[in-house]
Amino acid sequence: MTVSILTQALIDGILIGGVYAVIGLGLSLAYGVMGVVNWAHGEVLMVSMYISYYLTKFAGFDPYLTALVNILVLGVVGFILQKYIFNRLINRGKAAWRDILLFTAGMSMALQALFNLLFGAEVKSVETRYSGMLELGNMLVSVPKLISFLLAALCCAGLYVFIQKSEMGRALRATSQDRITAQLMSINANLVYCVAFVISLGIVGLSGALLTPFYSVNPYVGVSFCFKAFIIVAMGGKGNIPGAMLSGVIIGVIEKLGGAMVGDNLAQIFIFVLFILILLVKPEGILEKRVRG
Amino acid sequence: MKQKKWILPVIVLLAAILLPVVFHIGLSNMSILISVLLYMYWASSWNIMGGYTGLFSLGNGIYIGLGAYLTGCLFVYANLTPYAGMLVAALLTGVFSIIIGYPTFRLQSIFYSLATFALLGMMKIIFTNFQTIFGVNVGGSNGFKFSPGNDPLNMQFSSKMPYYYIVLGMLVAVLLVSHWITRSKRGFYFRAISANEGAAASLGVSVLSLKMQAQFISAFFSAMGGGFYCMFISYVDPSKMFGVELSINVMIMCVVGGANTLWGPVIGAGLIYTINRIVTMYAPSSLNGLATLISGLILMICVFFLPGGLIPFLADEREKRAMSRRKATLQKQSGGGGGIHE
Repeated sequence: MTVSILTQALIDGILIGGVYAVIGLGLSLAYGVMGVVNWAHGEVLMVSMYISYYLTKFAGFDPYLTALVNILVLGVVGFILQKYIFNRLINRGKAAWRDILLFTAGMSMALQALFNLLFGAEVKSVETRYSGMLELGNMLVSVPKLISFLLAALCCAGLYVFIQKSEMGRALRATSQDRITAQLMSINANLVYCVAFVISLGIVGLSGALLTPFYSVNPYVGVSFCFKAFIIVAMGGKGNIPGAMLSGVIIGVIEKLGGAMVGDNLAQIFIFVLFILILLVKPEGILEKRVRG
Repeated sequence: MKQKKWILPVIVLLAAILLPVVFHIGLSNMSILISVLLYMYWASSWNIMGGYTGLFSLGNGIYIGLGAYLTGCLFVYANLTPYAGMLVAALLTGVFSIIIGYPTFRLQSIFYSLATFALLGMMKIIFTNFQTIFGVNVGGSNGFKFSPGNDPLNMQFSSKMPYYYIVLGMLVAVLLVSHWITRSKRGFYFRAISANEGAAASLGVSVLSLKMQAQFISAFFSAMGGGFYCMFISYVDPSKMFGVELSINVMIMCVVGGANTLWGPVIGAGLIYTINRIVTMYAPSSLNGLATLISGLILMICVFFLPGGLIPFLADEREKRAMSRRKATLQKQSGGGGGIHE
């Protein structure tokens, strides 16, 4: 009995962990390239979940197809934000991360309050044709979670290939290593920043669509996701895609296993402890090699 | 010129002291005044580490909440008068802040912020989920309560006036300490760390120990404020004390007014609190949360258009005007002088 509950929690954790990983990857990419953290990452996810929710519920979209709309909308928003606001803040130089942290903190407060005003604080969820359970032996696997996990893994793989193989990916990596030198090699750093942020928000748009079939949305849903994304950045190492994937799964498993053992509320504490431990023991990320001895 | 700097603060202080004596202020308005002063106090405390030293903590609520709980528990279970209890609580919280600080100071500054934020979340879960901590009943998610009485020796007053003077005194104290920091050698070290940690360390500034000192001072004052808050409303709510909102609000007040300046936190707290209060008072109840929306927008606008905050912006403007005035007089003089020469 207990064993089967724990295996069930394990499977659940791995599946949801895949989605956490994609969300964290968005933040990790922006942080890796620009060295700034977007505090409103979770709220952007919340916005994309609302878009998916309304499109699925009232326009009859397939929940996974809404990802395209999300990516388009958030990509444009990301481009505008980066080009007209964040690039200016970054080019101001001194303590840019602090300015961006503050700006996005304001953005996150404003978005939460705005969506609370517009759509109300109640929890919204939508029944889709994917809702259902798959029986594997004596385990039950939720179908939408499985599909979302597979799509998330696919997205990570695609992004990995893009970053490692394409010319733009090379420019992204170069800028993240050393902006000045990259600029000397005729890379347009401002453009690279725009691309990084568009990808970052685009991934969040995708994640919103991935979550919609099995996760309910309210204006404050972003907070816990945002925190998990921070942990993934710290744990996976900046811009490290396999690291982010692994950390996402670890967080998902800890959350679900902890939840099965001591209850969901108290299980959160394990995630906080994990975050602090990671920062103390291996602040450069679990899959990164230590640079200085 | 030098004496002039003292005049304005002293006048403001005198006005603040006389305000409740001269005017009759109602009970609810008195609470508002006390809250404003308390937020000014907390923002100034945050400024010592967040502004001067660049320890951009997002978990100030840890210290505020611990101060509140410790003061309350010492008062209720150990019968310690809160005047001493606040000090004890503040010292203990200061020590706790150093224990937090020691491992986290080595992190990159962005991860220091995130680590303090994580600790804040942990405190909230601990204090809402456990009824007793170390054998002391702290009330769990219901919060820590005691029944208020009328006992001046234990900081229990029937009117609000004494609280007003206590918090005013605390604000003056933290401002004096901040002023000392801006003028003393230690303050210059703090700001050197904030400007460039590596350079400061290479010039022989002992970064770790100074960061600890800044964190200790800041946590000490924050905790005193927490203790005062606990005695003032006889109730500590873990989801308010350790909630994200309080910590972020205190930080916003300081940043909007101008972190790294003496008067920035005071002006910022006064401004943001007043706007919040007006919006919540006059907005229809269907627009619940409008105040948060406006605070968020103010923060965004402020970061984008007024880097450094309101006070540095105003000082810059004044300097620009003075410069152009000086230029104008110089031109006039040289023009006049030329006339005489001819």
